[in-house]
Amino acid sequence: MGFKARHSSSTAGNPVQKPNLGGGFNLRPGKNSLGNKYDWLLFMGPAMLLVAVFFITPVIIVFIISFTNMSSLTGFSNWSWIGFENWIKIFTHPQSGQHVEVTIIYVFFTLILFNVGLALVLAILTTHIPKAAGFAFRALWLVPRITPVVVYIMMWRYLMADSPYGIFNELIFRPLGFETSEMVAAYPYIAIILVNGFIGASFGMIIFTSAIESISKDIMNSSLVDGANILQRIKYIIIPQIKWPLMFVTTFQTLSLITSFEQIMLLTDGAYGTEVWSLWAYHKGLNNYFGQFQWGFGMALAGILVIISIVFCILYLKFFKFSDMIQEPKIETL
Amino acid sequence: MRVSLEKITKDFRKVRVLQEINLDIKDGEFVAFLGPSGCGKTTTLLIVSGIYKATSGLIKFDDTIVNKLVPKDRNIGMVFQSYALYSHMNVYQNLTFSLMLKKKSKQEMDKAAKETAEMMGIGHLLGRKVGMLSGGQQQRVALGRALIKKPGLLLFDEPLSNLDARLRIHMRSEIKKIQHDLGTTAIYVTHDQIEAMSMADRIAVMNEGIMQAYDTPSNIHDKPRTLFVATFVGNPPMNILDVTLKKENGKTYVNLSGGLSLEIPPERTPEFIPEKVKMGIRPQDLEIGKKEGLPYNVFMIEPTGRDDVIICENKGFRFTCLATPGHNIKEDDKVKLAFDMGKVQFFDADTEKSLLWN
Amino acid sequence: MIVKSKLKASPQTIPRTFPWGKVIPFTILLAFSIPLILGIYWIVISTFSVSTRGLVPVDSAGNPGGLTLANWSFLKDPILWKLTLNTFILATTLTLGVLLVSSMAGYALARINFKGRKSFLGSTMILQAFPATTLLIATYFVLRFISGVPLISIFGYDTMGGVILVSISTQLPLGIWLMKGFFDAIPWDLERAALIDGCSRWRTFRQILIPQIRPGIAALSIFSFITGWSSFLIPFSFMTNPDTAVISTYMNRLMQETAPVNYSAVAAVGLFSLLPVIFFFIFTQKYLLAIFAGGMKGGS
Repeated sequence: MGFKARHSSSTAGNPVQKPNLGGGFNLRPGKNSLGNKYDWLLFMGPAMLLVAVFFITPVIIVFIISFTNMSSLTGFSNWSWIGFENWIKIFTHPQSGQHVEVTIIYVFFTLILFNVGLALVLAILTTHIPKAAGFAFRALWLVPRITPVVVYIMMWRYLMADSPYGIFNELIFRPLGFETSEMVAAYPYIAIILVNGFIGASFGMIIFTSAIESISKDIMNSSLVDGANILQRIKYIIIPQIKWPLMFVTTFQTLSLITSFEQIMLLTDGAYGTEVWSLWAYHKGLNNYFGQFQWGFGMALAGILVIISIVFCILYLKFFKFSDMIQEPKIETL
Repeated sequence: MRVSLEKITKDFRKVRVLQEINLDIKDGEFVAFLGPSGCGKTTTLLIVSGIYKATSGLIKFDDTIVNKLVPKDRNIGMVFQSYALYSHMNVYQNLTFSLMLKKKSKQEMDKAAKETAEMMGIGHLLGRKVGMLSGGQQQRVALGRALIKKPGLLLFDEPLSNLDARLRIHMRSEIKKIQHDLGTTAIYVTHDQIEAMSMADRIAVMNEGIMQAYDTPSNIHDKPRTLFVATFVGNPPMNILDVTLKKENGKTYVNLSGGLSLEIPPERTPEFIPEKVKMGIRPQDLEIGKKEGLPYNVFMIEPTGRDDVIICENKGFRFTCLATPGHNIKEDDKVKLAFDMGKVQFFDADTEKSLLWN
Repeated sequence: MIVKSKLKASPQTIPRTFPWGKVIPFTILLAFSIPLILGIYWIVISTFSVSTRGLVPVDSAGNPGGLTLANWSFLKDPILWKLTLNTFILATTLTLGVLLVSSMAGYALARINFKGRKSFLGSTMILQAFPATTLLIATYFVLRFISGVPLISIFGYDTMGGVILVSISTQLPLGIWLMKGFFDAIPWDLERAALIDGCSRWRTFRQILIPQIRPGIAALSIFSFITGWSSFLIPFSFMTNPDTAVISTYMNRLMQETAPVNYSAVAAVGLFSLLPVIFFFIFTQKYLLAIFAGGMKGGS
């Protein structure tokens, strides 16, 4: 039985298991053995350390380095403080406008058409067909999300490749007599929206499905008795009932889309005018073909995204009442 | 083990949930905490166990102050309402878990488990997973787990409320007998007055964080110190009515609505008579007849099996009374109620304290 | 008589309407799903083909036919197994790390009263929504710094240790929330009973509570493993050494560098790397759906 083993597998290798760190409960009775007030540190320590090193420190670094001219030319030693120069450069940079434009187009259409729109369609449809079929379709739509992104992008590249290879071209356009093309190059915006949308739709789909399934059956049945058809039911019952999940998915996915670039990087690497803001920052600051990194400027570009993210996060906290989920502990000895 | 609570107060955030609870429990005594839900009885129990800290006040076991002792050092056994069995362990492991933590030898654990299991009548179940046991069996395991470490104090948090009615009555007497045989001090939290009355040597009645009374079951029932105790204990509940008292020729009379006036026997006459008085009389102390007494309408009859509860009404005022079946009374009958004035209670309407018992 | 026969006949006279209510949604769903179905079908078929034209396998001359097992010859290549091992190490260490750190923190946040608990809960919620990708450039600096510190330099830039730590951190907010939720659902009396029986808080956590949240542990393990196995951006950004490359970064190189990309060969590697994921997914859909619904961070 598990409780005889001193170390269970899931906790193996953890430094805090040393019994002498076990805290106040080992103290002799009679003395103050009300539990060591700092025992919680034992549980929280590793998480706090990781958050401090990989979340808080980077946020600070972003803003500090954005005020320097650090780049692969200056190295890590010859840089100097340049004040707001990088931030001003963002507004005067000739490419800024184009990056903002493509980011807005990409975020807006992916969000409306797929992450919210298609997600809602999938959720409603899969809840209106037999259970097993609905489940199978939802599983199918989760495949893009769990597939290694490199494989997923390869699949799309081939789907959209030019004849005689590409599947869309071979199966649809050539038989219908249309001119074939390398579709990623010919329709780059559509390509990045499709590729991201097919992953993004599943998030909303799952959340909307559970929201729709939790609508009381009585409400659904009474609307049937009242003679509502499916479209009326969607309009008057389902949409109003899942208002909060809708808003949650919309805001959450907006932020995700603004800051994500993995798929675009693999599909076009920013070519054909698809360099969205976050990819621009990544290219400038961390990874580009020529190995010339403008860390200071890249950090300023990333800083914009960090600020947007923080604003969004504060909005979540305010509007989605997460604080209601916190309950008071009901053991006080520690 | 003796237990005493001295001025125990408990605040959750800024809300006071216990107000200066004072309580002495003798060695081997069985004390019940009785009260409606949210009255603070479970909180008190958890403070005794060491799960909660008292905001102020002292907890003493024998003569040791245990405020700062962690639960495991208090030498207590506890039985929970939900049993709180470790569902991933079998019966033997559940029983001997505390012994294992004390690093007892395998032989000691086997012996203790065997003894305890036999006492609880679960000797044949030691190898079973607890999830495969019935409610009654789980209850016995939970009790055995509390008893196996031979605690100085047993704590029960509504342990029978998840059992069906028949099993509950059975376990009631069984727990009482085991506690009596072992001579272990016990505190038993319940909202069921029959459990409290039938099991406890003394009952602490609590309401809204205040201890209303702490006395033997018969005194709690017959000499309620507050209006709350009077109405909470006893089934069906005591009838309460607003009255005025007046003295005349050395005798005291109670004036009921409708101009009726009844003489109070000396042993039930309050020494001090405030302006507003409430009179209480238990249903069993009202006699329904057709000839003598106050005239009432029979409003409703509720058969309970042993007795029929009869609710009578006059001018919007209702009395609950009892009658043995076969009484021939029907709804809308005109009846007369005779009061057993030797059993009435009087309370100050403002302080809700008894005018007869302190 | 007439009335009677009418009554009798009526059940049969109800016209059997075509079930449009089921067929239309089904058809729409199928239409939307076509690219996915075609894509998945192509990945499978192309791994057994010399080349493909659309969905049709062809030989080197472009004529239909040309089925081959040659694409799978990489299975004999020791480099692939090295990559697979690396990927497996990344995924399993990530899973163990996420489980350990987030179950401990989740327990403390759900069950222990300490100063700053609420603010930590609040910040965990913020971090859940916070896109870690915005911090990649800055994380590079953190890792460079760690590389320069003796003893912990194995967690620095261009090391598997560094990639694992960064990956754990990005998974942490979700893990902590999930674990906290599972701990919240355990009755308090169970923990109280353990404390009275003589457990320390740590022991209660390990021996009483952890066994109670097995479904949560299972869900988080699967989710973390799949994430680790499929991860690309973090290993790609922070590991340049081909010795520690994982399958995804290796595949990316194949697609970038080989002049005419041999899609069939790459697809075979892709399918190979997809197999464990699909395997997990098929057998644990229920767990996964729960965790996805529980508040997963939306990739895109």
